[in-house]
Amino acid sequence: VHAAGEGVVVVTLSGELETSTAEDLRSLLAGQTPGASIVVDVSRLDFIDSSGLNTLAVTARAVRAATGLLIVAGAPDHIARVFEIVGFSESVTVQPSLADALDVAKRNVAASGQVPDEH
Amino acid sequence: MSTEVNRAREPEASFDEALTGSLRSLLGPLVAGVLAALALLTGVALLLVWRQYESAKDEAAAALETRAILAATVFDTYFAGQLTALSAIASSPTVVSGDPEAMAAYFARFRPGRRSTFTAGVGWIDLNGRQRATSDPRGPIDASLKDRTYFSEAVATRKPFVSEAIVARSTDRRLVVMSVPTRDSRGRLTGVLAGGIVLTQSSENERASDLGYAGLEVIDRDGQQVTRRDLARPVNASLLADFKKSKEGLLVDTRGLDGSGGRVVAYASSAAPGWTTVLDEPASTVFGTARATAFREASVIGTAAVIVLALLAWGLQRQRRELRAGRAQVVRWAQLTRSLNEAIDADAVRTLCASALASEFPDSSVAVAFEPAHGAVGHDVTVARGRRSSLPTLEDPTWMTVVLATSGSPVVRETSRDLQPDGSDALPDRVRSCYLISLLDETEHPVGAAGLFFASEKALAQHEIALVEAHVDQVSQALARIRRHEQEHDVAVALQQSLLPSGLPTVEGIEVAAYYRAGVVNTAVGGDWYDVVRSPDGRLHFTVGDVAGRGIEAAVLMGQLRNAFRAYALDNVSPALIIKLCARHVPEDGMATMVCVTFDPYTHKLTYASAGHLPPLLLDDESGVVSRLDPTRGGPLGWLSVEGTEEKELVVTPGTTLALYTDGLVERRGEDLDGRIDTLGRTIVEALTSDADDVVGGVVHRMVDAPVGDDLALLLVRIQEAPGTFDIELPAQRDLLRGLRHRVDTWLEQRGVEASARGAAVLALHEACINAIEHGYGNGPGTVAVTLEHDRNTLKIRVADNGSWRDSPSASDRGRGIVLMRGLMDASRIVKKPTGTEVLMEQRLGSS
Repeated sequence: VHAAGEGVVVVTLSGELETSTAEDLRSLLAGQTPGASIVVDVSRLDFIDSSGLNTLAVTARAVRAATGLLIVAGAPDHIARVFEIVGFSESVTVQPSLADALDVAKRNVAASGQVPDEH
Repeated sequence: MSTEVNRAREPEASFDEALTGSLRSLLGPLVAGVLAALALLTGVALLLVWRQYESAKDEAAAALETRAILAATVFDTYFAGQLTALSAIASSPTVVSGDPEAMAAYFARFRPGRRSTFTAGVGWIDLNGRQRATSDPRGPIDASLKDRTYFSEAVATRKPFVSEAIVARSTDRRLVVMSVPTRDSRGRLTGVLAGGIVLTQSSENERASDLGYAGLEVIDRDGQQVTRRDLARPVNASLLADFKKSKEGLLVDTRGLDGSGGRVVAYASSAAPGWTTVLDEPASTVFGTARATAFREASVIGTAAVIVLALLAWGLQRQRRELRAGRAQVVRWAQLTRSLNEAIDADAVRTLCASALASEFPDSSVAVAFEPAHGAVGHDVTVARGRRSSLPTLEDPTWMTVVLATSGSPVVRETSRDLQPDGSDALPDRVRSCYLISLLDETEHPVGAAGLFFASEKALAQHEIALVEAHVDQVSQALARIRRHEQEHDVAVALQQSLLPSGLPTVEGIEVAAYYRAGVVNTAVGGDWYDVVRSPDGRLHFTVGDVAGRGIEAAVLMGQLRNAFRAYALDNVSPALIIKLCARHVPEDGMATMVCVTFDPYTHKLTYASAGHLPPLLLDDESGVVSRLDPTRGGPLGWLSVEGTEEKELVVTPGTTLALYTDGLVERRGEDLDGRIDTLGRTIVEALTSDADDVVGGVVHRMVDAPVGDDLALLLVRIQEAPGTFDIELPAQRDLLRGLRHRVDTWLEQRGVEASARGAAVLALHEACINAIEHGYGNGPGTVAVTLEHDRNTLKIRVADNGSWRDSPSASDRGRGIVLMRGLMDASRIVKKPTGTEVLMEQRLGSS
């Protein structure tokens, strides 16, 4: 976890995000500054299961409620395929690369106080 | 069962040397003493005989001398008488007167003739040596007699004289002439009066013979033998010198008068005639009686000595025979005792008993019957024949036990006379008598019978019956010992067998083979064990161990360790931990080594730990390279602390064989253990490449010479290609799914499935498992069965639980899981049953 400019936190995941580790991620993300945008870098993630997806989706909802934005970035092919299968992009912002994700996050910070797009 | 033996083995002759040696050492001096006494007695007797012989010889010689003296005395007396007579004539007035005419008239009364005192007549010779008067009717001799000794000696000595033998000039007769000087009335010498006697040869000698004077010779002063017609002088003239040395004497073992040797010569001289009387006889004649007597006595003594010697030799021989017989019996007895102690079963005891009795009683046939053991039917019988037995081989003598049982006596004698009229007790064919003896166990309970059968009406002496009873006693003890050991052994073997695996788990792609030998030594089983356990999670757990010691205690500890291993292995406890946990079961005075290996047939990961055990071997089937598993820290159980027990792991490639073994397979006296372990590796490689059916049996056969001995265990695990089916059960716990995913991924990789397909399958499986954990068990306890089947292009996945479906509190989340499964797999369905839920998925794989 590291700060990437004002109001943006980058969380880099590696290893496996699954049923027994998802709860840890949920606590970690919930502990971030309310309203901050969170970029979750999954480029080094080996495995993600439905629990991991749920954790990300649930957190994204909470972040959005606090006018922040959660972006999942850099999914490798096998994870991108999982995202595709479950229609992950419908509930979570997905960007192909970390750079793209940071751009989107900074734009979101610049539009802070505005009504989010979705609304 | 029935066996026949003919003779006992020839006993070794070492045991009894000391025993008979002492007897022999006593006998030696005894015999020597008797022989010495005998020799002494015989010697003394012979000495006495010799002395008696010498004395008899002396007596015989003395008798000879006495006879010679007697004869000489007779001659002396005779001539003295003749000389007296002649002197009387010379003193007659006629002769004193000196008148020849008157003398001739006077002498007429002394006419020569056999009856005359002077058989050759008398005559007077004047000092001129002329015969002046004679009794011979033919008148005086007309010749000078001056040269005659009887004249010259008488004149010279003026004493009577007896001449040597002379031959008469006119008559050729042999004469002896006696002479005395004559004097006139005034005492003046006037002449010599001579009187002759004729030596008549034959009659004289005949008389002498009659008087025991055989061999009598008379030698005159001139050395002529007057007893010879020709007056021959002795051939052996040296004797004459001997005769002159003393008046009388005896010459033993000398040369005779005729010069022949071996004579005894007695002599005595007669003063008057100057004769020497000689008795010259062969020594054999003189000493014949003495010799015969001595010989007779010596013969008696010799015969007696020979008889005594013969008696002694006979006694000795008999004693030696008895000694030998006694010694042979001692040897046989020792041999029997030793053999019985070494006998390992009742059959051996029975055979020993039968052959021993047959040896002791060579003229008998022997039968030994044992009660059936442990509920078996029929007696066990052994028959044997003594070497002099004329009986046929006995058949089925089990009736002996019946006779003994009804008699109530430990020894029964049956003879043909005892036969019952109904033949119920009929003895076997040609048997005339027999002795039946009960075999009793330690509780005096009959366990069998022995029978001695004779072809004659034999009555055993008391000591022979005692001998039989001693045999039976030994056999009973041996039998009791064997029965005890058999029971103990049966218990130990049954215990051990019950503790060893009854079967080995079969897993596709893995070939497990084991060899085990209880290693019975003196009925005590060893403490080696092995085991193979397949835990529900699909892993295989191997162990081989060795409890120090033997017998039931070792078997019990072995069983405890094996059970502990099984329990921990089924729970998939890791090898090092299994060892640590097993250590608790080892008592303070116990010790055991063991090695534990866990092998995952799906990932080919091998994990191991050792408690001071010999290093497991890894063999590359193809190259034949043998390596030992890296040593891990850890000492024997019950010996060192197990806290430091170390565990190592490695991944083995298909075509590898793992070998676990105990020291019974490799330890050999005098050989380096490392070298033997290398030999074992080579032997296994050879056996594996030989296509032999029984690889482990072949290896053991080639490694171990003896068919029985130390216990041993060998376990071979041949690791082949990863199996086509992944089939495990695991607890319904989320934290186990990570390991499952890894194993399945590795397995699929081994099966050649490409990465993206593996990822999809692993995720789908994972979701199905979570499904089972959440919906099947509501995160409660339970078991999830996972089965994957892979063939060339299809992968089927089945995940089943035994729970009852319940909706998750976060149903929307689970929806994603199901979506994932469906999205990842070509086909998937969830089957909900009352007994549980089954998720079935299938995926076609691209041909790779």
